[in-house]
This record gives sequence, C-alpha cells and structure tokens, in this order.
Amino acid sequence: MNFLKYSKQSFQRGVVMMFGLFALTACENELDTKVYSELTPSNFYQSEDDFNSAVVALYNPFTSDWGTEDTGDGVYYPSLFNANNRTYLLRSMLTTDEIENGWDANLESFNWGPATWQGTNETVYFKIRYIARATSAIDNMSKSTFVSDAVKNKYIAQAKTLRAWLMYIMYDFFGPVNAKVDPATLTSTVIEPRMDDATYLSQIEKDLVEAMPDLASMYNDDAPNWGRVSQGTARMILLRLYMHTKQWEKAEAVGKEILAMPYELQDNYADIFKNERNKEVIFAVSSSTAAPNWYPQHVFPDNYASSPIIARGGGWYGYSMPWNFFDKFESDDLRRTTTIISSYTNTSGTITDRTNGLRGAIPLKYTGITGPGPSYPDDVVIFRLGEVYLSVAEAINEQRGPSDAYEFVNEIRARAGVDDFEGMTKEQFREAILDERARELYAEGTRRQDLVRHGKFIANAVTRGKDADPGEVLFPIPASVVIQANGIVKQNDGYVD
Amino acid sequence: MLKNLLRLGCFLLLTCVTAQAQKVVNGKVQDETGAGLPGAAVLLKGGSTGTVSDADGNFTISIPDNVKDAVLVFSSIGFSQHEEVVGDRTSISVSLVPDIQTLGEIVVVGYGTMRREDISGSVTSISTKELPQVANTSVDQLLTGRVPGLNVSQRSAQPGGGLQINVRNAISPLGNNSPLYVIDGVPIFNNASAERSLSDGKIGFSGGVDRNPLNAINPSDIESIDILKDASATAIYGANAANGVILITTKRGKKGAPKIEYRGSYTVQTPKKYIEVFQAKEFMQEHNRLAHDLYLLNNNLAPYGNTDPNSVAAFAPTFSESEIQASGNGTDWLDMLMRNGKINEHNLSISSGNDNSQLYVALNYFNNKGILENSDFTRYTARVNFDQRIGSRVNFKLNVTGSQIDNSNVTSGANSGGVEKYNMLQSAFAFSPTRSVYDDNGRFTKTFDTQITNPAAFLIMDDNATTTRVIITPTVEVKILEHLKLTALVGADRQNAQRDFYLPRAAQNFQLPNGMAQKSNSNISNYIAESYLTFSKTINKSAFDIVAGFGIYRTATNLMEVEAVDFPTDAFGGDNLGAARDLTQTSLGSWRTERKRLSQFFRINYSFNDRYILTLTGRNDGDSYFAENKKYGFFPGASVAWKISNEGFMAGAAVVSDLKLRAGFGQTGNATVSGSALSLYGGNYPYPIGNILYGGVALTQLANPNLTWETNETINVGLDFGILSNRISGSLDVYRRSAKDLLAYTNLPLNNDVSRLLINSGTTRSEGVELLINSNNLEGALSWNTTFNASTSRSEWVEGNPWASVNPWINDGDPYTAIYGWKTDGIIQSTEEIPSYMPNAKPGNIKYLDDNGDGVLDSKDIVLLGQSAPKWNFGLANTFRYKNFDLNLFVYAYTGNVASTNSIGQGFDPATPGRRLALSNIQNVPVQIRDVWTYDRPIGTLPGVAPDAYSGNNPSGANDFYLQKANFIRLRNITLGYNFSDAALAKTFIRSARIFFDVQNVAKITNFDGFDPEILETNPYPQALSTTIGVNLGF
Repeated sequence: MNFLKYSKQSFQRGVVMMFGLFALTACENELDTKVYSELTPSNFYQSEDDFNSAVVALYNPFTSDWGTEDTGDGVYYPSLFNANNRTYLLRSMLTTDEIENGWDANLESFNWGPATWQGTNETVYFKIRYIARATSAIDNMSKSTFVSDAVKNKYIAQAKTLRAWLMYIMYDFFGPVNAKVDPATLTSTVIEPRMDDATYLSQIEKDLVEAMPDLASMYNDDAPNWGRVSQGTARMILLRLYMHTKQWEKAEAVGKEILAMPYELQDNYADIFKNERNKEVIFAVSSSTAAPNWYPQHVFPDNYASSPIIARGGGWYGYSMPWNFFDKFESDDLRRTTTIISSYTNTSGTITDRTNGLRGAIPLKYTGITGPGPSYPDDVVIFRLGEVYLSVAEAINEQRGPSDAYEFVNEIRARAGVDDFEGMTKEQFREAILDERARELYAEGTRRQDLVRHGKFIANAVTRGKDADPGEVLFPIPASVVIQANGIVKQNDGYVD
Repeated sequence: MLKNLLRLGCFLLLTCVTAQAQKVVNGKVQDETGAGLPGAAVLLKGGSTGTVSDADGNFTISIPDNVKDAVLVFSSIGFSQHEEVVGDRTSISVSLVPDIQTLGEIVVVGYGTMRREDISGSVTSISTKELPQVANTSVDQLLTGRVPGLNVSQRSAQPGGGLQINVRNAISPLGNNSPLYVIDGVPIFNNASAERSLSDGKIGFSGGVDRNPLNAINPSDIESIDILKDASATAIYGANAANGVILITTKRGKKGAPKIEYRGSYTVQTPKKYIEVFQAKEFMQEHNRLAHDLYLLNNNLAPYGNTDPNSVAAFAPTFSESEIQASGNGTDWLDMLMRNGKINEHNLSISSGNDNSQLYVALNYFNNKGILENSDFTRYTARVNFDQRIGSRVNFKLNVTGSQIDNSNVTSGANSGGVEKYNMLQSAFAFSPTRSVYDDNGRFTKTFDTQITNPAAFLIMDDNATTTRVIITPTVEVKILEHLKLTALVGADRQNAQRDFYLPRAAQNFQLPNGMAQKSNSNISNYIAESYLTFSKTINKSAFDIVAGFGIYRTATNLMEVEAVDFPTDAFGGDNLGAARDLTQTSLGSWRTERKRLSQFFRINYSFNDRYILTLTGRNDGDSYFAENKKYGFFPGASVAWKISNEGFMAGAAVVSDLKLRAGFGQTGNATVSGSALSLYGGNYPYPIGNILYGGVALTQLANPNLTWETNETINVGLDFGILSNRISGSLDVYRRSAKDLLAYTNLPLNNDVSRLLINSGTTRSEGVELLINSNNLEGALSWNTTFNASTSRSEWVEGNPWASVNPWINDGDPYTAIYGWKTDGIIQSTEEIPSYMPNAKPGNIKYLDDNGDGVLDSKDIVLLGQSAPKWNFGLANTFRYKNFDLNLFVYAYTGNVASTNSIGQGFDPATPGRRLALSNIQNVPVQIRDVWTYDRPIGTLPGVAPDAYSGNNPSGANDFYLQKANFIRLRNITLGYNFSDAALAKTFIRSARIFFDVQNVAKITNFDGFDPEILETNPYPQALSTTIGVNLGF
C-alpha cells in the first residue's frame, strides 16, 4: 500500500471531499412524507366513483354483517342491523316481550346505566359520528367541481336521507342528541349541547324533503343498485317519525303516498322474506355472502335437526320467542304456521317443544334460507308495505276512530288467514292494532317503538318481572359523552351522572 | 521513520554506556493456562527500566545494582497487574490472572468506545459471560432482572415469545416505550418482528404472533451489551433515544491459532401448574348448582324475589344424579394439548487471525418443541465477522449474519369475538369434559355451545411461519492523520416473513365449515449509511476525543396477504388457493410504508489531568414522518465527572480504590409518530349494494402540521465506587426523567366524524434510584461472587393527563400506571346485607363501597386502587467456584404493583363469573368457580349469577374485586458446571471442556392468586420448568 504514503496529501483531501459531498446529499425533499396505501384530500372527491365511495361509507352502519372498526376513534362497533344482541335491531327486540336470549343480563333485566355499555358495546350512540360524516360528505360533494350537478344531486340526496335516518335512530333510543349538521362545526372542539326536540325533528324532516326529488323512486327492478335508499325509503323514515311523534295527519298522508307507489303486498307472508326485491319490500339490506344475514343462525337450538318448515343443523340458540308472545297468534295464523317453529325433531330424533324444554318458539322468519349456514345471503328486510297498512290504520283510528281504518288492517289479516277486525271502539282498536303489529312485524325491530308509542314499554317490562324504571324508556347517553361534555350534554332523566 | 529508529538506537546505546553494574533477570510471563503471554510489559518499579515479553512470553531485563529491593511489575491487557520482589533470583516466571474488571472496561457508547473510567453518563455494561445462555432465544430475555433500571417482563411464555422491555419505566402513553437497539453500530429503527398475525376478521384469533424480533440474533454471538440509560449518554442517538439505547457488540476474531468452541445442550420442559378447569363430575354438579340459582333468579323466587314457588314449574336439573355418578373424570382437554417440551441447541464458533486478518464464524441451531402441541420454534443462524487491515491506514470490517426461524403456531392470548372465535386455549377451557374427542362417525364432537371449535381440531390446523433476517454491515476505517480517523459504514437489515395458515374442513369450524387459508408475506427493512470522523489527542494534561458525523436512514415495510374461503377438499391444504370457491369472502390486502431520516451528530470528550471529565453530545435529526412545520429537531446532552480517587488527597485512603462522581443532563426525542401527520382517507367502511361489496371511504385522520416528537429530559447524578482494590465495586444513580410534548389524542367532541386528533400535550415523569454492586466475597480455592442490583422508581403525570380533564377522579401526580375504580367489600351474602345505597342489588352481587358516603354509587366513588408498574425491582446473582466446579444462582423480584387475578379472557364476565357454567349452552370454567355464591352455598366468595345492577353507574369500568398485590420473587435459574482440568485433557485434542446442568424458571414465591404476577396475558401460554444438560468444548 505504498501509494497511500506516496500521495498522502491528495488522499486526505479526497476523503474530506467525499465526506462533504455525502453530507450535502441531504436536501429538503428527501424528507417529504410518502403515503402509499391511503388517500389524501388532494386526490379524493374527484369523480363519481369517489362520491359513491363516500356515500357507501355512510351506508356502512346499516349493513347486516357484524360491524366495522371506526377509524374515527379506533373502536370496533357492531352494525345497526346485524343480529348481534348489542345492535339497534336486537336491542329493539330484546327489551320487549317478543324475543329473549339471556346473553346480556343487564339488557334484558333493565339493569343498565350510563356506563354499562362502553366503547365497542355501545353500538348505537356512536353512530353519531356517521351523521358528521354525512355532513362532511354533503359539503365536500357540493363543493367539488369534478362532476355534473345531476350526479352530485343523486349522491347528496342519498347522503341526506341516510343522515336523517341515523338521526331518527338516535332519537328513537336517546331522544335528541347534538348531531353535527353544520359543516362549519365539523372540526370544532367546542361541544354543543343537545338540540332541542323541535329543531332536531325539523332537521330530519328537512333533509328528507330536500332529498326526495333527487332520489330514485324505487330499486326493486334495479338489481345492481338494490340496497340504496329511495323515495320509498325516505317516505318510510318520515312515516316512522310521524308515528313516533304522533303527528297522525302527516303520518296518514305519507303512508298513503307510499300506498300509491307501485309497491304490492305479497300473497304469501313467507315470500316477503324469501324472494329478493319482491314488491312488498321498500328497503332491505342487500345481504350477500360477503356481508351476510346472521339472524337465522341465531334462532336455531344447537340440537336442531328438522321441522316441517326447514331441515338443517343446529344454531346458536340465541333468540327465542317467549311462549306468551307466541300465544298472541291464533293457531291457524299463517304467519305462525309458516314462519315460526314451535316444535322440532332434535339430532337424537326426539320431538322437542314447549312441554319438554324448548325455551321459546323459534322466530325464524327467513324460511328461504338454504345450506348449513352459519351465514346467509338473504336480504334483511327493514321497511315493507305491510307496516304501512298498519300505520295508516293506526293513524286514522287516532284521528277519527276505527271505521275508515278497518280496510287497511284487514288487508293484512286476510293475508294471514285470520278473521277481519270489526265492531271495535277507538280504544279497543288501538289495543288490537298494537297486537296486530306485534304479529305482523315480529322480529323486524319495531316492537320497542310500538310499545313506547303506546306508553306500554315500561309497564310491559315490569309485568315480565324486570327492574324497569320510567326513565328507561330512553337509553342513557354513554357516560364518556356526558363526562367529556362536563355539564354541556345533559343525561336523560332517571340516570346518574 | 528511519530517523526515529536511529534516535532510539542512540538512546539505548547511551543507556548502556551510562549504565553501571547490573543484574540480568530472565523469565517467562504466562497466562492462567500456562501458555506464554506475548507483549506483556515488565517494568522495574520506581524506575525507568522496562521491557516487553517476546512471542513465547520470555523476557530479559537488567536491574541496576544501585536499586535496592527491586520489584518487577508485570502487566498485560486483560490481566491483573502482578508484582514480584526480585530478591536474589535471576529467573522469575509468573502466571498472570485474567482481570474481568479490566476486560469490561471498554464501553461501547455509540460511534466509538470509551474506557469505563472515563464515562460520565449512566451506562451499565454486561458481558455475556455472566449470563447462562441455554434455553433462551434472545439476548433481551437474558437481561431480565440483571440491570438496574432495565425493566424486562415476559409477555408470552410461547417459544420465542415477545418481551416488554423499557429503560427507567414506560412513560409515553402513545409513543414507543422500547429502547433503541444498535447492533454493531447499526441502529435498528424499526425493531419489529416481520411475522404477521393472522387476519382475525373471520377466524377470530390472530394466533401465536407475539414474537421477539431479536430472536434473529444468536445470543452466543454477543460479546457485550452496553445500556445507555440517561439522556447525556443517549443524546447522540437524538430523536430515537428517549427510551435508552442498548448497544450490542458481537464477537470478533482474535489473533492467534484457530480456536473452535462448541456448545451443545438438551433441555426438557415440563409444564408448570396451569389454570385448572372442572373435570366431568364436578362440571355437572357445579352446573346444576348454578343453574338452580339462575332458575330462582329468573322466576323471582327467594332470595331474589318473592314469587310463590308453587306458581312456577319445578326446577329440572340438566344432569341427573345417576349421570353424575357415572361420569368419571371425562376428557381433560388441557392435558391433551400439553406435552413435555424440549430444546435442542448446538452452537459452534471458530475464531482465528493474524496481524492483518481476523475471522469469527459461528453457527447456531436451536430447536424448541413448546409445551403446547403444535408450537415449535426452530432457528438457524450463521455469522461471519471479518476484519482486514489494508496497509497501515485502512481497516476493513465486514459483519454478516443471517437467520431463519421456522415457527409453527398455536393460539393463546385474547381473541376478537364471541365463542365462535375462541382460540385453542379458550376452547379447552370451555369445552365440556363430558364429551369425547370424536363422535361415532369419527368427526370432532361439539360441546353444549356448538359454536365452539373442538380443542382437538386446532391440532389439525396448519399454521407455519418462516422468518428470515439478514444483516450486512461493511465498515471502513481510515486513519487520515495520526489523530484523525474516518469511519464509514453501510448497513442493511432485511427481514422477511411468510406465514401460511390452513383451517381444514375437517376442523368443522362453525363460521368456516368449508375451510379457509391465509397467506401473508411481510418485509421490514432498515438501511443505513453513516460516516464520522474521530479525533483523539492528548496535549499535556488535556485529552480530547471528538466524534462528528452524519447518517442517512431508510426504514420500509410492505405486506401482501390473501385469505381464501371455502375449499372443496382438504387435499391441497393451503397450497392451492385457486381452489377456493367462495370468492365473495376471499380477500386480498397489501400495503407499503417508507420512512427516511437524516441526521448529524457529534460528541466531544474532554478530560483534564485524568480527574475532570466533560462530555458534550448532540444530534440533529430530520424525519419524513415528522409534520411539515417540524421536520428537524436538535437534541443535546452534557455530562461531567470527577475522578475523586485520582486526587492527591485520596492517596492515603487505602480502602477506597476507585471513586467517581458523575452528573449529566440531556434531551432526547421519542420519534414514534404512529404514522404520518397528514390528513388521510381510508377505505374501511364496506356496504353491499346489489351483489357487490363496495368499499366506503371516509376521513380517518386529521392533519396536524405541528405534530412533533416527544421530548425527554433526564437529569442523572451517579457515583461509581470501588473498595478494597475493587473487590467490592458498584454504582449508584439517581435520576429524574421527564417526557414532554407527549403524543396524545385530543378529545375532540365525540360527535365529530373523526373525534381524535394526534397532538403534543402533557408531561410525565419518572424518578428513581438505581444501585448495582459487584462483590468478590471470597477469593481463593472457594470463590464467591455476588452481583446485586436494586432500583426503585415512581412515574407520574406531571400535567396534562389527557384523561384528567375529563375524568374527575384522575389527579395530576397520580401514578402513571394508576388503576382507578370502585372499592369493593366482598359479596353480599344475604338479603340482610344489601347496603342501603344498593337497593336493587341481589344476594351474590359484589358489594361496592359508597366511598364518599352520599348514598349513591356513581363516578364520585371512583378512587385510585393501585398501580400496575412495580415500585421496586431487585436482581441477585451468586456465582461460586470450588476447584473445577462452578455454581450460578439468579433470583429477581418485583414488588409494589397490583394485578388482576382473573386471566381467563373472552366470555368470562367478572361480575357474574359463574354464568357461563349456569346457562343452557354450558361452558366449562376454572375450578375457582366452586367459590361462586349461591343460595345453598352462602359462604361463596365469588359473585353469584344475579346480574350486577350497579356496574352501569361506574364509568371507570373497574373495581378492586379481583385486584391483588403482584409481588413476587422468582428463582430464575440454577447452573452447575464442571470444568475438566488441563491435566485431564492433556492427552486429548480437546483444549477445554465443561459440562453443565441448568434449571430455568425454577420457582416463584408470591401471594398472588392469579396465574402469574409477571405474565398478564389473558388465556396465557403455559409456563415450563426447563431442565438442561449441556457441554462446552474448546479445540
């Protein structure tokens, strides 16, 4: 290595220069953040596909599949219409006399408080984030310059309908909440108080009325878009809202608007839940094997083998229809005989029924399922024409007595193969329609609303031996929300802070 | 050069000429084995005469006659200095004793080394010679309890399982709390295991993935470990050094004849006491007992209500008395899954070298069959460390290590769903002991809850992962000037993991009856290029040591994963994903990330008169993950030391052989931003329309252009001491570490679409005292060495605890790992005992305390219940040697924390633990359920079946019912070795031989009633007692 010695000076200079050059390669752009697998504001809301993606995110809580990790707070939440016992759909049943299960003792014994369901277990309240998300999507889509107004309006109308529906669902469980409907407040750190009742309800109505002209009438003949909200859906939300708030006149009017649409009652009750996109269904979750319907699996006893309605393997023995409720059906009611199983042959060949250990009837409803499960691609029916007939009948009775109402309710009773209603007083009719709704709409998630509207929700629970207090007609605002708001968000009456 | 030689010659000549009459002494310097020691210094005490031993250790020295009572001083690096009175002798041979103290005195400090005595920061060094290495897969596992202030605890007992490791406490709530590892100079910025978990959306468990990334480094290849604890020492690693730095130095070739070392060992692992569940008979009896209480409850019968018993149907027990009597023990599912494990290890290394080249080559094979069936861990590693001198100025080093780890996995730990997603251990806990493994048709049986997969079905699932890791580090050192050296190194660390999972149809999984396969391929890479100049010079009494340089770093990850569902046959296993029929459930995923860093760094070391030392360090770090307005940060450190023992006034203090006072201050960063600081949209919101599952997109993260690193500040004062010629030595450190600008999610209103934003807010602090003592209690034929360490610390929120503002029960100054909740007082054993403030309570409910006495149980009754981090940590190692025997015992202890005794995860509701056994879809439960309160067993100490009406009013979600003190002392290992004497080996080709016997995880002493006070994993992997016999051979 003599050369090193020979050119010592130049070697030293060379090394120092290399060192220096190396150090200078550190230029600013080197440290720009690189994002490879996500989208940023600079490349979103730029096409119809982007709009669709943004609106699909608003539909997400309505899926029948289990749920979603909400990146808004990093917590996994079950969906509204999944069959898990924590969802909107099931809590609307499990707090009533139509379904029992025993998995969440706090729920069924009315032993809940503001801290009972926290984080992932509070499945309904935190859908409030999707209301803000809808507000954000509506705002961003309105401002986007990349697509035509016609396309924009199509998606904005869906976003508004979904926002209104979510607000109704929150109202159903909690009363008015501090939903974010003003885009200016979206990133605000100021916590607003809960909206007052009138403002909250008029906001729901406003969204639906504004959305109506730009929504498709119905999707029953449009298979690729089945699962989106339509004018029929928007009217159904309005109908539920008016019924809930006892605005009978408006309820009757919107109900009749729906009856005037090309929807048709199915001839057989069981077909409503068998045939996809049949004309009775106004909104269904378009369940598929990728986002399936988990409800049927929950209702079969674990040793189930067969009954005249269906033969298949055991299920999760989750939800049973108490025999008291089952007995509300007349014995030849087709709804009972074709969609509810009260006796089955078990895996050892023994007939099992209420006399030898069957906890309750099996409220199957979805009799068209095929295969061993556990999940099925059968749509979960949310809104259908049958409910409209009964709601119109109830609204008419409340306004002017039963005489004009019979024809609507008797359409439904005739299909079930039971005798017409007739010769009732207004009060008798009111009682009868509540029971008729129980039979017609069992396991569809309306029972809690119906009992609440009739002022019987708590009394019904007390009769069943539950620790129900009057305040429990609404669920509590989650403790985390009340604590964070430090007095600004008021807890519902009857709950501790 | 020639001129210099001439000068030396003249000097020597002159010395000779001026010399008077002299005496010549010959002799030999030997090492402890009797081999000649070349290059040993032989000096005449008090004079200027000296020489150096030759290649065989021989020396000749002349002693002037006028020197009275001549004493020769022999010294050589790595050996204790030795003095010999000459007297009348003309031939003196000495054997020098290796000096472990001296060997440990070179400390790696990042971009260089320093003498231990010149260190002014807080640095603990561990030589791997002190650590028994068998039955351990990674080096950090070996450090458990050894270093004061280094807290190591095992997260999972599975083979190669992950560790929780932190230096001076974890005080960053969202940031990283693990130290930075630097392996042979390469900072491993992304120290994660590439082994991916299973995608658990459908299957529900992620399965045996808590792996230690350091498994890829063979612990036997490691020469030393230096732990930089305070910021004055770590600041040279800047934004990544907040949690301390662990520098790992691997072995290098040594000059001399080739030396071959072999170690082979065989370990038997036997399961220790594990969670016990009911056998068949008691399972039936206990079910009947609890179901009866549930019947009373559901029918509002006494003691739960006052319904007339005659008005309801009588209770029908599920199991009749004759069934119970005929049952026997039934199937022991846990026993079926457990086995005796074993570990087979072979380690071979070769070291050789001459003046210009040195080579170290090592091979390792480690095979562990874990104590759960199907959990196997096999590792192969190879290392080549090569040193080459090129001319007089250039030194080239190349480190290459490669490893392959083959795992087969079983599932333990938590899962992400209900009973249908139970993992193997959960299934074994819950599955009925009354069922056999197979039914009459040869299919796996089902338990009462048919969603639960049969535990035996887990044994036919294939779950294999192969992780390969290669680290290559070429380094060039160039001596530019006499005192100036340039070092340039490039490092590439590449990890790849492939995981293959197949759930057969035959397993009859409830959700996936037709099978499922997953494959994932994941890469993690760290690339570095660094270059730095080192200047060292001593001018009079001032010694300078200066390092300055810069580095460019890139870390990258990428992943590809596939999940395929519904196979027509099990014939393909997971090897033909195209055969999957259900394309709507089949899913694909991939992602990629990249992060770059640019840094400049320096260290200035100044020492005056070998008494006063000043060290200044600093680093400027830029990071692509840092937000737009905060791309660069500067992190300084400064420390001083005073070597008191070198002062003149200490000359008479014979007892104190070494005394040094240190003080340091520094700032470092914690750069773990959990992603970028940009605004992002993510597609995690699917919904089916028509028959297509569309992926919805929503805002997932808000931008924060001012987001920055967390800043740590440490003040450290320490004292190093040695007494009686360092027979007792040690150090004492007192520190305060503050973490500021903590990453925190602001509590944006919960009704915002994204209700959290990552910001910098709040300060935490950890304060503590650390003591390390090493003592040679006995020397001589029986030697006894003790190493003791103790540390105590307190971590707390100083300000801005993000939860304190919203949760009124949290106060600044509370322990960092505080646990809050309601206090409890056992359970309500009769109707009369129901407290007035719990009017809706039922007998058997937990009795909560109305702490503020206002008659209502609510958030105002929440109090501080304890902390989860230990307050005191101790470690004690004792080594005894007697003749050819050596014995090593190691004990460690943690105290001062609390932990939950309830380690059964999913589905076990702590408020009503017996309910799972009582319901009609009966699940088996741990035998502690015997203590569940029922009407006919009112002495029960665990809550009964009645739902808890008050937990809904407790926003903390916690109470102290299951909390206990988690203090423990663990006898970690006992090693007994026997070294064959040279005489015994003299006629063989074997240079050295040792056989040893080692027991790991021997015993623990604790009052804690849960599974293990250290392992808090739910559904934990069982622990094993490992017994090893092994041999070390040298050739």
